[in-house]
Amino acid sequence: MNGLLASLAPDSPARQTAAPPDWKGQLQLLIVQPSPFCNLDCDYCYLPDRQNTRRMDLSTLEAAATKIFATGLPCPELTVVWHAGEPLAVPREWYLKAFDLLAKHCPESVTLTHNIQTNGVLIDDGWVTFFQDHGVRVGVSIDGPDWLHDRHRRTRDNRGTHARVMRGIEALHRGDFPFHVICVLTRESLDHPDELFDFFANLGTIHLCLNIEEIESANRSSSLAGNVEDTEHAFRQFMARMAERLCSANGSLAHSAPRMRIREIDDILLALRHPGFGQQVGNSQNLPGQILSIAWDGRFATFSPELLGQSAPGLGDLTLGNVLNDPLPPLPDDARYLRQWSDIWQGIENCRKSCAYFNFCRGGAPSNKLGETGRFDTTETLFCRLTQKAVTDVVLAALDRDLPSLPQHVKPKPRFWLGENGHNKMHNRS
Amino acid sequence: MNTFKLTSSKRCTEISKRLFGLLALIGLLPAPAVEAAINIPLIQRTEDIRQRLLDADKANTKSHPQQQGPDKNENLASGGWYNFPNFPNWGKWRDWRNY
Repeated sequence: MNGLLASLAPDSPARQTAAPPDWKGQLQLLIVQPSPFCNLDCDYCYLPDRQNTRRMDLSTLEAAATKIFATGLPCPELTVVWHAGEPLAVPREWYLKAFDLLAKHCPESVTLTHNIQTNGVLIDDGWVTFFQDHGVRVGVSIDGPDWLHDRHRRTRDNRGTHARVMRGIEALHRGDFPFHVICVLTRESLDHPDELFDFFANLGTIHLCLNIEEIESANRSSSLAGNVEDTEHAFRQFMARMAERLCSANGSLAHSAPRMRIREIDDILLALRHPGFGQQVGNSQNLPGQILSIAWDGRFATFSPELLGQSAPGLGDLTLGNVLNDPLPPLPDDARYLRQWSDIWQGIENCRKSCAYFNFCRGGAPSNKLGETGRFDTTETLFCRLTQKAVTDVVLAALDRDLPSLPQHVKPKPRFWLGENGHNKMHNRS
Repeated sequence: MNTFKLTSSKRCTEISKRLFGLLALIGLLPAPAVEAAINIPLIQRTEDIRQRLLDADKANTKSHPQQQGPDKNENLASGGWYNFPNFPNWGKWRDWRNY
């Protein structure tokens, strides 16, 4: 009866299905929308309401901070990301007050880091000084050279924005300020890995993050979704070439200190090196309380940040409440929350039971499942075929080629999610 | 199948199966950890490569301590990648600290 007893233990997956995990000490990423407004009109943007120029009232932020810190939600290192609109469209004076306010409520036991993800158009020397003075980390969204970037990242009067973003990046360079880059890959990008690698290596970014053009929230189509087989083939070729370029620049994918890192490749290496590899279920997007997103008007949601303000069939509005008048975290018996959790958990379980890549992604992203399939309890998406399965295959192939073989007598035990009796089922089978 | 026409041992097995099936049905037992649909060779290959990576990390630490895997990287060491037992933020919402 070991299995039955284990299934009734507090940390058992079966138990978690009925009772969602405690949020206390779990919050790693707090995403705050200072304003929904964006000065650009990129054609693949997932955010609705981008013309709305309203700004978060500081009393709303204070209500959020009070509840977050008083209830002990954050883990010891909390990252605050100002995003979900163009954050630099809000003046620096507002941030000065906002940073002070969060610092006032933040206990000494929590280290708080501010981060801004910007389209780069408004960065100037004044902003760079502000970033330096307040230890703000900065990410710039740029899709490569102008002939790729300007196809999608445009103003409301339909002008390209590349030249203006480059001026912002020049300001970062003048201040010797390190930054990471998010590049959205569309179908046309996949045919140009060398041009993209060279562009970003010369740009001086410390970390390149390759998002794909996703179907989620307000973005209902993607250039990658037309011919999925063609897309997957092109994406694999693209990532293989990026890995090759990293290897040729640094000598080894696994052991080097490159000037530029690629997030997708790092993620696979870090998962492989993690002592918990093969024993983890769930990730920061599909477990509640690890990411908290707060809209300008105080509405909040957990799980994937893109879910804030969205609805789902059978679940209705995915917002869990408003920091001004609802409990945060939501009450454990909150029906809306429990319905979301139950469906998302079922999706994790379905992934766990059917996918050999589960140890890397640990159940996928609810926003992509919802955007592509209309449900949370589903498994494979185009997003996971590309950003998880294809990238994993590319990294494993590169490591297989580069690393020395194991001695003949060593047979590693496959690590897969531990069964309910605490034993590795795959290992027991062999 | 009439359970009670089986031998005693088989009868016990059959009753156990039905009992556990019932428990699984009402959610008291998790589903089997690994199902046939999973690509077992990929999992085994992954573990082989993982072991080789960890071995190479160890060897690399001895010869080039300043260049051992990502945990020696300044950004990553301070960023909590190794906040075991939890993985860090995942996918495109990975923790900004680590960029």
